[in-house]
Amino acid sequence: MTDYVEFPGPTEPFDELAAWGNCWHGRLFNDGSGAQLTTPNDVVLDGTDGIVFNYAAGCSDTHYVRNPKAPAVAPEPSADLAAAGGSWYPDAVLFSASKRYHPKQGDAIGQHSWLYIDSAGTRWIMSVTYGAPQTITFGGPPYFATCTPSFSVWCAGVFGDFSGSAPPAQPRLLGTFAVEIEWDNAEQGHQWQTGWWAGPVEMAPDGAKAAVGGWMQHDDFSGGATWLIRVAEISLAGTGSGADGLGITATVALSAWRQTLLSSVSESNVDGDGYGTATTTTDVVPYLVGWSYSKAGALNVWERRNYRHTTYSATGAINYPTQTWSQTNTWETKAEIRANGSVRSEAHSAKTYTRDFVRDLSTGQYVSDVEDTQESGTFGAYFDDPSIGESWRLSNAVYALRWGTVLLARASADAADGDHLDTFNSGGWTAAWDPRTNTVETVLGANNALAFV
Amino acid sequence: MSRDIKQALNALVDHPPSGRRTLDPAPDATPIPAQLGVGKPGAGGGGSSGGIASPLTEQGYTSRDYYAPKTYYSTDGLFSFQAKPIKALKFNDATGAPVQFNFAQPPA
Repeated sequence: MTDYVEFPGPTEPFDELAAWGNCWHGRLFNDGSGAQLTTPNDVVLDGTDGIVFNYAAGCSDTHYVRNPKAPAVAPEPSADLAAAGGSWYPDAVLFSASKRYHPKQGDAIGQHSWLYIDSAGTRWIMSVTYGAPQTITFGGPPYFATCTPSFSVWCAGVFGDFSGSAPPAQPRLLGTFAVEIEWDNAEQGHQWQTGWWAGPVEMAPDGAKAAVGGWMQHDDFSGGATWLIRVAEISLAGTGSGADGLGITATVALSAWRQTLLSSVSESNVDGDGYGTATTTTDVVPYLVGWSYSKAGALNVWERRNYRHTTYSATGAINYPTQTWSQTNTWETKAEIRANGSVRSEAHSAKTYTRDFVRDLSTGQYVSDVEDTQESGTFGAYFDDPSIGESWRLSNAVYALRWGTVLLARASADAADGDHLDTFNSGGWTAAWDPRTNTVETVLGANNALAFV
Repeated sequence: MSRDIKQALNALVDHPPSGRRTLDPAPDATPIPAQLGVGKPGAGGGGSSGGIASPLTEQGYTSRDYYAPKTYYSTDGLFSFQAKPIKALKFNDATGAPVQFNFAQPPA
């Protein structure tokens, strides 16, 4: 690691340290033709300069780090360094899924890891591991599914100490936390198959707060879809000592996963045929679908509102020769995701599903079955300068957003059948948050890798 | 003839330039034989008001005093190392008299 860090070496009594660390910053991008780093002063460095970045290594994750012990203001680069594209910042960005530090080498603190900076300024490598997938219990109506997975918090030693700190013999376990997650409208055997804790964490700049997500898997779409349905916030405190951070403690607070379930049902037998007419309206408000931390450390909360309106009616002749059904389901999903600063996301969608069919009760066969599905609204997410995408997987859009960081769902509509889901997995998009400018850039196209450092 | 009349007559006559008298070359200085400087002891005998005779020779590496270790952080705050700021250096001058440099403690 020191090969790539501009380290000053031993200091003399009258020396003043000017600047040292990573001086290579900017937009890191690879569209498959090779990694490039475009520096803040528009110098483009590539593989011949040692820049390394690719999609397979993961991209887009952003861990903005600010050590209060670091100099408040970074010095201006020397003329030679500036001409080469170098610059200094009083903070750092760990990027990619593995949380890399330097664009010219691959060393990283590891997946599902982050840095906690204690009161002494020491950087402790924290990580989260997840328990095995849990068996889901189904219930209802109203239908729901629930499971209780767990996750563990670890300390894996000090990062970046040149004074000779030895890594611990093994990471120290700070605690294991079991959390119940639950999802409504989940019918057994139809949609919800398994659940687990997964996903990277979202971290405050000093790492004292970190969020993890509870997920369940939906098998209704090809490849399965994961839904973030609960968030747990890890709070770290204390000053570490020794090799494994003795003295650091972890506590966990849970989000309210479902605050209110509003449901109203009206039913009447209007024609005396024994078949009623029912109207069900279910509003689930709100779902807390994501937390993130701004550059200033403030907590951003993302909520999602789900509405489901179902109108069911059935009529039939007195002698029951036939039965006419009309069923209308309208789903609305609205999400308003506002992060502090300039990052913002909104998504709206409505889908109306109407099915009219007639069944011959003497044979039990349907003689008429007309299905009509209409979609309306804008479904997707966007940021400051709206680049509106389309996706049915709002949860995935949020999933991506919640790192502070962004993988923004942007899939093209499927011209064949209008099913957006078909194109989601092959859509190819990526986006990343630039904490230097607090903006988000989205890039379309498969296997693009984008990050800011 | 008065001095004034003589000067007036001289002023009326064109004199050729006459060489100005120059000083005789200075005699060579008498060499001072090589010797050690001697600091004069002060009135109190403590040496505080006397000069320091070069060269200064450190009493020994282990004679250095340091402040408590200070942590130096990288510009981005992710890396650090510790160094002990120098507090005092102790010398003997050419006469064997002790000379000490005391350094200010750098800000935290």
